[in-house]
Amino acid sequence: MLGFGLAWLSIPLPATVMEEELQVEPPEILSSLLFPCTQCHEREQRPDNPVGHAGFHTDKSISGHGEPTKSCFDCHNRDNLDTLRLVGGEEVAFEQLHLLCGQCHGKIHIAWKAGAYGKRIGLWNGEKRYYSCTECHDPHRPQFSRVKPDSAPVRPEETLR
Amino acid sequence: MKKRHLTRRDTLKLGALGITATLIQNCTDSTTVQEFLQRRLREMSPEEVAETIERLKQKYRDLYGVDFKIQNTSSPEGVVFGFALDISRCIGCRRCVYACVRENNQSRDVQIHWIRVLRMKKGGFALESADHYYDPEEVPEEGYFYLPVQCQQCEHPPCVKSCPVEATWKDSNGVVVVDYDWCIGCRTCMAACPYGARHFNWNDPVLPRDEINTEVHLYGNRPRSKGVVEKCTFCLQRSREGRYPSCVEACPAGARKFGNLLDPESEIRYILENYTVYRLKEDLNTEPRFWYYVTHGW
Repeated sequence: MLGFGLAWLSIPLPATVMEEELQVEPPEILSSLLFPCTQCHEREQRPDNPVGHAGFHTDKSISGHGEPTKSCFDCHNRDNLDTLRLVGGEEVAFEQLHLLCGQCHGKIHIAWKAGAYGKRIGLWNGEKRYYSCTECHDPHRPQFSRVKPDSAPVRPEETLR
Repeated sequence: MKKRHLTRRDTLKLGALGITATLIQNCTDSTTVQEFLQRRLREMSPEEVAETIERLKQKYRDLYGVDFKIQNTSSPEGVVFGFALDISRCIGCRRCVYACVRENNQSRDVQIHWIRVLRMKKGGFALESADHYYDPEEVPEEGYFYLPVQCQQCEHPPCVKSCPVEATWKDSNGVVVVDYDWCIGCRTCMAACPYGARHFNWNDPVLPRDEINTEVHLYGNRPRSKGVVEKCTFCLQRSREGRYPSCVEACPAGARKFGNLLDPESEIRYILENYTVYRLKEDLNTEPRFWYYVTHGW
């Protein structure tokens, strides 16, 4: 397993990485009005990494994730904001963002690809859909928030009548 | 003229007539007779199974006012189902419990839940003090972990051994199923099961009409009746067709894993081969086909 992980890390990645064909839904952002990011972020108007720059993206604090580095451009591609970038500068499409998360979360990435981690729906013996990282986790605040549990079972003594 | 008294003979005659009349009245509903004379599902010829399905459709139409699609999909060949649950991911939200209730037409009142989510204090594994009635505002709670328990589909199922009428057995996929029409409701299996996975219908199941799942299987999620025992079947109405069980797809944390133990490429095999897994009450030698594991770290 370790060997597999290291082998994967040592593969030189092409400029735009499209790894194995995984049944992953494109992240929500791609279908939102905010995309493409270059609508606002023209190439010559690159933000200089101000969090909450000009009043936008103020919700995108990255506290609790990847400290102490806190630059937007650790993950976002400064040269083309419609894509992401890996540590080595390789461009990654939003659809393949698991490659980005997998840089730090190697064990989880391997487990996710093998099916031991993360959600899958579909057929156990055939086509299935992998939930990608950001379908469950907010990329800027990846820790799950707490949820209200569904109602507790009725105690037997409350059932008697 | 001498007044005739009611003799002992007359009384008996009248009584017999009355009983016969009552019987005839009750049995004019021919489904009752059929149901009474029905053999074990396992022993039926294909024609008899088809007849039973028709009878059940009629019965459910009368009872619930909706048309059911009753399947009798056979077990896939070369498949043994296994289940794994990542307890480090379970947040105790009970989404699986209610997805199961809806998928499998479990009675809402008296309430039946095939999945029970146990809450235990971190730092131990105190099953005896586990609580499944926890009801906080938000989960997961600090200092606790959650352990969902359902039928473990044992290799050596004590419930099957204990059934006096052979109304329950292990199918070729390793799933323990129940013939709901053969079960006599003695509840011996419930006493035998160390996991509390079998549940008794104290009354005719109460199902809200708009929540009835009409896609059912003869051995799986078809509505049961009063006085029979029911249990998790790994959603055989879905899994026999290749789909994941409903709890797997409902889990928001992706903690539930399901697959074919005989397929070396399956995710379940990957988990068994690469993680430390744990089976509940392993010391009882029931050999559950349900494993708990942990994906700690990042």
